Amino acid sequence: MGVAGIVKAELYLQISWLRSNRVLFALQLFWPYTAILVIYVMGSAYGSVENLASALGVEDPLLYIVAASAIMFAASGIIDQTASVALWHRWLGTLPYIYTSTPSFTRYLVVSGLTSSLFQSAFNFLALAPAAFIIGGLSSGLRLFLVFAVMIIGALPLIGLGITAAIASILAREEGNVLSFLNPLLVFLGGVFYPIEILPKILQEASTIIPVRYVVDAARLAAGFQTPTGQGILLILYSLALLIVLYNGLASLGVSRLERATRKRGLY
Amino acid sequence: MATYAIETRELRKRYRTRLGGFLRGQYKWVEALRGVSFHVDWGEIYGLLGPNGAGKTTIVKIIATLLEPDSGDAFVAGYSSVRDPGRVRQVIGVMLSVERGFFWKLTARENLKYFGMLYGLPSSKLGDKIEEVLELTGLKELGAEEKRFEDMSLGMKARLGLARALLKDPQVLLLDEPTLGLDPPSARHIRGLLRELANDGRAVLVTTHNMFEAEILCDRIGIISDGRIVAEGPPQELKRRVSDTVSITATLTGIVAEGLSAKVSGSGYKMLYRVEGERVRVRIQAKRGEEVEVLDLLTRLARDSGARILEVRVEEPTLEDVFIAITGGGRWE
Repeated sequence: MGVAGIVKAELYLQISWLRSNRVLFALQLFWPYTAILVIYVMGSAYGSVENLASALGVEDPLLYIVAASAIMFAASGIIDQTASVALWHRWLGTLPYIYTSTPSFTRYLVVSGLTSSLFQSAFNFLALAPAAFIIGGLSSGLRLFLVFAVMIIGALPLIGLGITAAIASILAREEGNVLSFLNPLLVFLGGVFYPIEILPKILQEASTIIPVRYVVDAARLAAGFQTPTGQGILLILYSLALLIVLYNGLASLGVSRLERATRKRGLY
Repeated sequence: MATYAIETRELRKRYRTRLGGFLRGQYKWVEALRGVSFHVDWGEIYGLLGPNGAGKTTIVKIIATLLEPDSGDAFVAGYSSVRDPGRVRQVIGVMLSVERGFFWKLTARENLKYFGMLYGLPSSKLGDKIEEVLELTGLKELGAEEKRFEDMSLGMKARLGLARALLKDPQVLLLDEPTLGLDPPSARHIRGLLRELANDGRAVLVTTHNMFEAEILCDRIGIISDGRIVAEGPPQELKRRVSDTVSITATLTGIVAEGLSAKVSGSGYKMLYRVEGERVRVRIQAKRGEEVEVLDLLTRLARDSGARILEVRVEEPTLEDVFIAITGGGRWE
């Protein structure tokens, strides 16, 4: 089974699944609008949406919060997504057939995790685009696109952790992602819902190795009505590239052992 | 082409099962396989026959590369399942469970399309291949190709499982209890199809605990008990080993099966039993000419226990008697 085969199969599965689950399909399109409602409720708590914008340090809180929610789901969620794909297959009983369809289960997890993550990101973008357009016209839509592009790159360093989570969950015979305890840490240190500057110095230092932080930085640049400087964007991309190598390099050391251990215990 | 389609050499496997406890778990080691060796020829249907828990599924999983043995090895078309699992996966078609293993909300055709893509079948051939396996397994005839998996009968699900196993055009089929719980027409259809596939030169390994099925379907049978193959050969040859015996079968109610089994064994006879709700079905093996003595014994034991005998028969030997003769009987699930 080649990479193209996995991509095609996963896209086909996602589309067929959404077609068969129409209520979920509709709800997934609707969620950005509940986020907008939350902004107005929070804005009223601060006196006005403008006050909330000033507290968050952005000019467009609507776009920022909506994008930040998407970042939280997608950037840190890739770990959950990869693990949950594997666990979903185990729950359905399809896991052994997927395992025997490929020379490398890890390859399947990498490609299917990225494909489903990209699909979800594209879906979220489509759901958010009308809201962004209503709020700030075409420029908001373009900024949102930029946020999603960086978000996808921001998810790449975590794919190794996602695979580790998937195989470790299968190995431990748990019904949930055994590395899910990392998600709050990623969101907390990534500064998803507040400026990273309000954290103590040591946590700010720690956040430099959290990929989500750079995605949030990109989102803040876009939501701040600033024209992102080439230097700013490059710094974000370089940092993410470094983390992609670091995280996935570390994960690759353990994944093949984990996969072998899974075969020792057996796949169900 | 390798000499054998499938060959296992001295497979051993131990499992650690959790008995209970939250912080300090209690565990027990179970010897699932204790040195299993057998081979399957090209064009042959080989049946692994044994009660639940005997080790049949463990063997299939090892051959299918889903589980590594503690020691020993399995070879498919000459490739090692332990050292070369990728090659093994290219030549096998697997069916592990009738009731699960598909996407519930997707139709038969959609499910097959997904797995076909995953197997890397070219788009230009995928459509035709799906039509071919839908036809072959009878799903088309049943009008089930556009049915969602969740709406399918057990028979349709089994046919779909077989259709998926055939998508890759595998030379070796590994099927774990393919007819379990099926209605007779579906089971018959699947047996017929397996025979056709074997006639084409493919090797088929099936596990079953249905002795009747093993007898009419398989070219050779390996009887497995407690992690060991205890007898092997063509069904007729195995049955010849017990041609000097007859079996007294009976259905009773109001009796504790284990107690009855102990008393029958104490009288020097071997007994196999199944518990089916309130009823206990027993099969007692005796030498020809001892039928009356066994009937007397059974009647006396039933009377002493306050049990009722609903039905009793004297039967010619079957594969069950081979199992009884070799293992000494016991519970069959």
